[in-house]
Amino acid sequence: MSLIVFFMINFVGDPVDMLVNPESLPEEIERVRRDFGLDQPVHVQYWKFLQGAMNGNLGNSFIFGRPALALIIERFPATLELATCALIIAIIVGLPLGIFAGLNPNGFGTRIIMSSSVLGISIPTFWLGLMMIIVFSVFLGWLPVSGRGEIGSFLGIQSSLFTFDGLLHLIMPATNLALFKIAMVIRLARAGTEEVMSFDFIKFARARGLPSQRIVRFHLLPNILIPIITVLAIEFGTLIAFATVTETIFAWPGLGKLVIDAIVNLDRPIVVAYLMFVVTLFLILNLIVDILYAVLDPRVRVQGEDQ
Amino acid sequence: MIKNLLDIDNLNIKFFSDQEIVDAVRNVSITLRSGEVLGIVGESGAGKSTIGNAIVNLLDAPGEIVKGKVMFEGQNLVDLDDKAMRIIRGKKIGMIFQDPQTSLNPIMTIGNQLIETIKFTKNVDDASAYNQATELLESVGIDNPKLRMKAYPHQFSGGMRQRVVIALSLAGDPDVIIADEPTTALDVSVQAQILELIKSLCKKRQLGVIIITHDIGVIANIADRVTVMYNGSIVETGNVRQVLSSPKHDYTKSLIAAVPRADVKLKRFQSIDFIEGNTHNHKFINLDTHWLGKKLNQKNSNKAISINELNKQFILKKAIFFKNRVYLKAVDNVSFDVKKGESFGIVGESGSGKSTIARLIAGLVNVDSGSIKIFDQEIVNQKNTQEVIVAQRDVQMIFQDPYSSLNPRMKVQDIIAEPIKFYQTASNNKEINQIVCDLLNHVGLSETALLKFPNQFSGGQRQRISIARALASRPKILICDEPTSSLDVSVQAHILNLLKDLQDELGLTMLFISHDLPVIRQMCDKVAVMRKGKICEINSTENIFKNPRDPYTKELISLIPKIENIS
Amino acid sequence: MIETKSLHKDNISIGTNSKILLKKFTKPSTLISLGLLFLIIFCAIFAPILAPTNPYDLKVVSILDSRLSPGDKMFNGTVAWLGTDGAGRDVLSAIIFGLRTSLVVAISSALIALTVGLFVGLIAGFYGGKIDAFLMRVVDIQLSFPAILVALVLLALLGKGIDKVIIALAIVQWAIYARTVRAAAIVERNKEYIQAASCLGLSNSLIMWKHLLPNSISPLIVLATLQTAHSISIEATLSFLGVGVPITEPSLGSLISNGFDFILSGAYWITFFPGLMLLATVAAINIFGDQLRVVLNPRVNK
Repeated sequence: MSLIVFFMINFVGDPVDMLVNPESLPEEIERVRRDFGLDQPVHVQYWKFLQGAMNGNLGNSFIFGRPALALIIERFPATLELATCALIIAIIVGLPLGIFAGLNPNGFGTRIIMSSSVLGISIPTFWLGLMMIIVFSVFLGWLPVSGRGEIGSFLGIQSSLFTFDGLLHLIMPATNLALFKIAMVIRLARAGTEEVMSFDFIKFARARGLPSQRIVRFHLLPNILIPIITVLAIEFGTLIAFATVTETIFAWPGLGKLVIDAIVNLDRPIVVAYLMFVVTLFLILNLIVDILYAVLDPRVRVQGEDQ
Repeated sequence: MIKNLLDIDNLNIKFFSDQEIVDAVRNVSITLRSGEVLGIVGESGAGKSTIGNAIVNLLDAPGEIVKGKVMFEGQNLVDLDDKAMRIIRGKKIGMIFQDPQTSLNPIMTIGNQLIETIKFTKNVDDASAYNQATELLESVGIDNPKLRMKAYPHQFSGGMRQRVVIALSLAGDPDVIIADEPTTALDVSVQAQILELIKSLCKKRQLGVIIITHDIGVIANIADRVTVMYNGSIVETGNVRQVLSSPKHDYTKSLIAAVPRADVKLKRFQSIDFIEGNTHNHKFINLDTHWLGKKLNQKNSNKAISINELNKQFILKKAIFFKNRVYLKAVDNVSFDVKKGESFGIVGESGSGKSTIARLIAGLVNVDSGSIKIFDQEIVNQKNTQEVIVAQRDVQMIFQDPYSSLNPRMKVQDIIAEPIKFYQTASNNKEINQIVCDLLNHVGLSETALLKFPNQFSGGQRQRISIARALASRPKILICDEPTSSLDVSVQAHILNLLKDLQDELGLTMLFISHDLPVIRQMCDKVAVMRKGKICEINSTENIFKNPRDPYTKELISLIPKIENIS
Repeated sequence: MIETKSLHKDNISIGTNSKILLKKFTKPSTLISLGLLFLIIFCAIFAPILAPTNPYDLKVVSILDSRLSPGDKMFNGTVAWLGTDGAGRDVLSAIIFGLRTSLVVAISSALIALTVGLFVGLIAGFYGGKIDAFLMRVVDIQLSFPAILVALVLLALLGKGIDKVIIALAIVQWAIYARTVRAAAIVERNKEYIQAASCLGLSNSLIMWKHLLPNSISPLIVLATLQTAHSISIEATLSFLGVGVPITEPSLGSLISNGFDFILSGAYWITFFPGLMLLATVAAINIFGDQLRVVLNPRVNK
C-alpha cells in the first residue's frame, strides 16, 4: 500500500514545486530538494522511508516540517470525538424510529419517518452543513460558526464534551455528520424489524401467550441488533473518513482537514502516514467486529450439534 | 359425560388482496373432545393450516374470519380482541408448528424461553418456574434437563428441538393443543417417536389434540377421529378406522388410493381420478416410427450401470494441516449393477449418500475413486472422447424440487427444445417444434403450455415438464432423485404412473432414489438400502419387504405406518 | 373483476403480476419521482438549448453582473432567475450545465463498475472454490474501506480531470456490484435447473452466460439505481473538497463550493440553489430505486 502511494505521488507532480517559490534561484531549489532528501532516486527514498517506518518515524511533513505521524496523532482525538458523537446520535435517534416503522408498516407516522429517511440519505452533507451555519449561526446567532470549543477533562480523558462551550461547538458538526447515518440506521432497523417479525419464532412466542412488549424487547431486539451493530462498527470507519467534509466546513481541527490539505499540496509524508494510520485503524475495527459477532451470537460462540 | 372442548361452527375465512379474494375456508364445522386426537387431513391448499391459525387468531395477514363461531369454554373466540386472546393462548390453547428450527429464538437459551412462558402464563416466581421447566423437559423425554436448560436451540438435533417445542406449548397447562404438521420436517425414525410422545401426553393430561397433516400415515398412527378437507371444505368426517377402511367421498377414496402401499406392488395407482382429471390412458407410441424410438436399440450390453468400489468424501472442516481436516464419507466403497430395462431403487434416510450416488452417476460431482460404467463404457476420469460423451448423454436426471429445476426465465418450449438443439438431433425448426409438442402431449400437457413460463404451472405440471425435457435427450437411463417428495400425494400418484408408463413403453432403465419405502415398493424391481454411505442390503423388492436380513432394513420397514392393517 | 379462488399454493403466482406492477407504478410518490427524473435527464441532455445563457462562454460573462439577487436583470437583458455568482455567471444556467456534468460522471462510472462487477461476481459465484475465495477477498478488502477514502486516495494519485474522476468512482463502486451479483449467482447456482443443464452436457461458459446470468441480474437493477444516486453524492463531495472535476467543467458540487465563500456576505443563493438541485436529483433517484426494489422483490409482493 505504502509502495503504491509513494511511487504514484511522485508521478503526479514534483513536491518541490509546491514548496518553493518558482522564481527562486536554481541553487535554492536544489538546496530544498537536498534537505528533503528528494534528490535521491525514488527507490532509495522508499528504502529510507521503510527504515524510518520500522522505527516509527514516517518522515517529516514537507509543509509543517514536523514528524508526520506526530501530526496525525495530534489531530486524531478531535476527529474521534466528532465521529463518536455522530455515531451515538445516529443510534439514539435512528434505532427507535426504525423499529417503530418496522412494527407499524402501514402507519401514518411510518410514512413520515420513511420519507425523511430518503431525504436523509439524499441531502448532500456539505450543503446541509452550510445551510445549518447560515440558519443557526448567521441568522439566529444561537451557535458558534466554526471551530472546536474548550476542552475539559474527565476521568483522564480530554474532550470538548465536558465543557458547555465545547458542547455548543460540537452540536452542529456532530449532527451534520450524523444525519446520513441516522437515515441509514432507520432503514436498517426497519428492514431488520420487518424481517424478524415475519419469522416463525415470533409467531410461536405469540402463540405461547407472551405479551407484545416482551416479544419486542427480548425476542425482536436482540435478533436485529446483531446485524445492525456489526454494520455500524464498520460504518464507524466511514464516519472517520467522512469527517473530512464536516471538518472542512466547520473548520474542525481534526484529521480530515489535515489530509485534504496534504493531498492538494502534495505533502507526501502526511498522506502516507494518514493511510498507514487509517489502514491500521480499519484492521483493528474489523477485528473488533469479528469479536463482537462472536460475543453476541451464540451460534458462532457455541458449537452446534447438526452437521 | 364427555363435553366438547372446542366447537367450530360454520367457519368461513377469506384472504383479501388488491387483485383477488381467496376463499380459504368454507363452512367448516368441527368438534373436539378432551382426551381425543382429531386429525385434519388434506393436501396443500385445503385450508387446514388456516383453520389452526384462525382458532387462536393468528391468521397471517390478509386473512380474515368473515363468518362463523369458534366456541371454547362458553366464549366465541372470534369476538375476542387481541388482549383477551392473549390470555387464552398458551394457557388454554397451545400450538406446535412445523419447523422446530425456526420456531425457537436462536439466541435465547431454551431454559429462558421455557421460564418466560411459564411466568407469563402462570404468574409464578422464578424458582417455581425453573422447577416446572425442568419437569417439563423431563416429561417430553429430554435427559439431563438441568444441563440442557442452559443450551441454545442450535445445539439440539431436529427431533430434540421438536420435543422442546412441545414442552413450550405445554408450559401454560393448556387444555387444547393444535399441532400443525409437527413431524413433516423430521426424519422418518424420529417422526414415530414424536407422534408417540404427543399421543401419550394427550391421554395422560386428557388434552384435546388437533393434528393437522397431509400425511395419512400420521393419521393412521395416532388419530382417533379424522376430518378430510379439500379445497377449503370438509368432504368427510368420522372415526379413523371407519374412514380409512370404507371411505364415502370420492376425494377420500382417491386420496387413500394414492398413498403408495408397502404390502403389495400394484401395476399402477388406480382410482385416483378425483384430482387432476382423468388418468388419461397413456397413448403408447410405435417405437419403430416415433422420434423417441430412434437410436434406442443400439446398445448391446445387458448391464446398464455398473458401479465398482465407488468412493466420495466431502470436507466438513477445513484446516491447513491435512490431519486436522474432518471429512464426511458420503459414499463408502459402493458396488452394484443395474440391468438394462430394470427399475432399481436406492432407499435411505437423509445423509445416507443416495443422492450423492445419483449425482456421481450423472456426472454432476467428481468421483474420488472407483469406477462407473454406462453400458460397459467407463466414464470416470476419462478424456472427452465421443464414446464417453455419448455414454454420459444417455443418463438424464429428474430432480426433486419442481420449483427450482426449471429456468424461470425460459419459456417451456425453449426448455424442452434445448437438448434437441444442443445435440442436433432434429434437422430444422419445424421438426423441433413438432417434437416438442409431441413430448408435451406425451407427458400429459397440452400445446398451450409452449409459450408459458414455469411459474405459471403447478408443482405436478412442472415435474411433467422436467420429464419431457429429460426425454428430449433420448436417454436410455433415467435417474429419478426423489421426484415426487415435494408433491401432494395425489399428484405424486399421477407422476409415478407416468414414469411407470414411460418405462414400459420406452424400455428405459430407471434408477429411483427415495427415502419413502412404500414408493420404492411400488416403483422398483430391485432395491439397495443405504446407510451412512454404505450399502446395507441389496435384494429384489419382494425379498427386501418380506424377508429383510439386515437389522437397519428391518428397522426401516418397521417404521412404515400400517394403514392397511386398520382396514 | 374480482375472482375467488382456493388457497392452493400453486394459485399464488410467484412472479410479478402485471396488474401489481401497474398499481405500484401509479403511486403518487413514484410518479413524482419519475417525473422529476425525466425532467432532470431532459435538462441534462438539452442543456445548451435550455439554459438562458452559457455560463462558460467567456465572451458573454461579465463581471458587472456579479452577485445579482434572484430575479434581477443582467447586463445583456436576460433575467437571472436564480441570481448570479461572483464572476457574473447566471446561476440557473450553471445549475443546468452542472447537472449534466454530474449525471455524465455518475452514469459512466456506474456503467463501468457494473460491467466489471457483473463479470467478477458471476465468475466467483459460478466457479466457487479458490477462485471465489480469492475474488471475494479482494472485494472484501476494498469494501472495508469507506468509499470516500478510496476515492480521495485514488484522486490524489491520479490527478485532476473528468476522466480520472470517472475512473476513480468506477473503481470505488465495482466491488459492491461484484458482491451483490455473486450472492445472487450462488443462490441460483445451487438450483436444480443449473444442474440439469450440466446433465445435458452444456459447457461451463454456456451455462454461465445462458442460464446463470439472466437469473442473477435482477438485484443489479435496483443496485445500479441507488448506486448512481450515491455516486452523484460522492462526486459532489469530492468536487466540493476541490479534488473532483476541474473548474472548467463544474458539477453541482463545485458550484456549491464556489458559493461557500459568499455565505457570510449574504449572497446565499449561489450555494443554496445548486444544493437544492443536488438534493432533488439524488432524492428522486433514491425514491425511484426504492419503488423499483419493492416492485421487483417477489417476497414483498405476497
